[in-house]
Amino acid sequence: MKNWKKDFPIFETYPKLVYLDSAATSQKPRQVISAVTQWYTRYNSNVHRGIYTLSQEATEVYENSRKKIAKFIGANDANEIVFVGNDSEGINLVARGWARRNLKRGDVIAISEEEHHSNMVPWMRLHQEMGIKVFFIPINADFELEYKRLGELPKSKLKLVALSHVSNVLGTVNPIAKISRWMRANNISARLLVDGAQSVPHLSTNVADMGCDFLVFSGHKMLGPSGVGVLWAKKELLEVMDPWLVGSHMISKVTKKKATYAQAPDKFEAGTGRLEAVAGLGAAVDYLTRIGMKTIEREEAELTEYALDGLCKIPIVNILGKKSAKDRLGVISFNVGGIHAHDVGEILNRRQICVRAGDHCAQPLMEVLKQHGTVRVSLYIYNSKQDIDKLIEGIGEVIKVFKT
Amino acid sequence: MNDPLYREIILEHWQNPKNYGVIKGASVDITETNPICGDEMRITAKIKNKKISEIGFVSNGCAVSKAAMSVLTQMVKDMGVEEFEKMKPEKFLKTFGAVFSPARVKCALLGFSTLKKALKS
Repeated sequence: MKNWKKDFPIFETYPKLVYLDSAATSQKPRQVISAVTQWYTRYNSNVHRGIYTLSQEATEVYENSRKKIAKFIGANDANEIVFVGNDSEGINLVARGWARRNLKRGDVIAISEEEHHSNMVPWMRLHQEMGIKVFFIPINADFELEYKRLGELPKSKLKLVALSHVSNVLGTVNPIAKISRWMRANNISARLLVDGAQSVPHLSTNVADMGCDFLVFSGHKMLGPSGVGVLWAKKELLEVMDPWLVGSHMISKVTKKKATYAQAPDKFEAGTGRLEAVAGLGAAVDYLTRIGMKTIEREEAELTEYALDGLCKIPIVNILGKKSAKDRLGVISFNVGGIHAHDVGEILNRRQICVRAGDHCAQPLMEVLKQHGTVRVSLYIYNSKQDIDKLIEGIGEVIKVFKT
Repeated sequence: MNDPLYREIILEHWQNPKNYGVIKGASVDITETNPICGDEMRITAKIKNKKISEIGFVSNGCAVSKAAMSVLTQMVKDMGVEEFEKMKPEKFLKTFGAVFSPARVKCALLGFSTLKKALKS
């Protein structure tokens, strides 16, 4: 495994930092930080409106990011890439812009019980507001989706299936392409939305191979700046979607009588965007592409296996999720005996080990797992086996303090 | 082991919490959530002659909040309601001789402030 850590300046600031919370947000490589700085020192001006050179160059950087992202996820057309604030905003845009316009009372949206609140609450609001029914696909004892339960739903009513590609608690990789093929083979014509927040940063992604209609993800979890996320949707769907915000930039003509909207993606990008963040996200995509997503997959799988092995050797550690690196990523939830997750996190923090403790914005899943909360470790390319060794030692310390 | 936060008193009460359970026929019954972590604490108590005659709690919280509440139940049993109302949080925290970070002060005081709130109403 190569040492990518050297590209991430935060580890120069804190040489002993063991950062195991990349599912919450990733660290940023020097290349991304430079791109943000360069935006302000080299390009800063507003995009899409200047006739002067500086604005034209800024527009080129901004639109190049869109093209890079389209290529990164296998989209045919950069105009299918809509910049939003984050993953939650992308899903809300589909809920407000597409579902509200195209669905009616009694229609069904299916999600799973392992979803993050961001892919749950927007649909639950549609239930309250317009009588949409929300169906929860259960998970089985192997932490896999029982997606064939979709077959029980009335085909004419089921309009959308919205699933996370990778669970932010269990780390399970849901077989999206297989689910999509199964849906088509069973004449289920519902649209498929994929929440890629935990997958796009770690897995090579191709929207055509997945067979999805919408893909949403966040920039800050894939080495990019915070404040920018992406909604990809098929062009024909963007055309039948209403904008959520209206005002500047998203129009084609405004008279006192009427405003006509622009085409996608402009239609959905009212106001001045997060310019420097979009430039930074382009640099993040360059960085990931240069390493290669296949390399990232391979290295992370090795690290995940190593972490799972180490954790499994501690008798009182209870892992919630698959115990081998097959069909899962390095998002690992566990508990240490009866010790509360926050107490575990507290002791680890003293050793500069950053883990997440709590319900991970998936309270319904916690209910299903009968857990009040878990400790969650999540890995990325800058982590090493030494980081895992320190984690295991730290858990040893937790056990010592709590004498269990 | 002399941990700055997880002192003997906290570990002992975490492992063997006192007055753990729900009091039947309680006149005080309150459930409060720690907004930081979502942990819940339910306190039930009986008041007789302006005194806390019986008190019990259940919690799914961390070691700090659980142990602190356990210590508090021992402290306030048979204590006059008025006397408890006068008790300052700083004084209560001193019992533990522990170093609480700002986040963990909230854990340690979850039961204390919940009981205060319950007795006020």
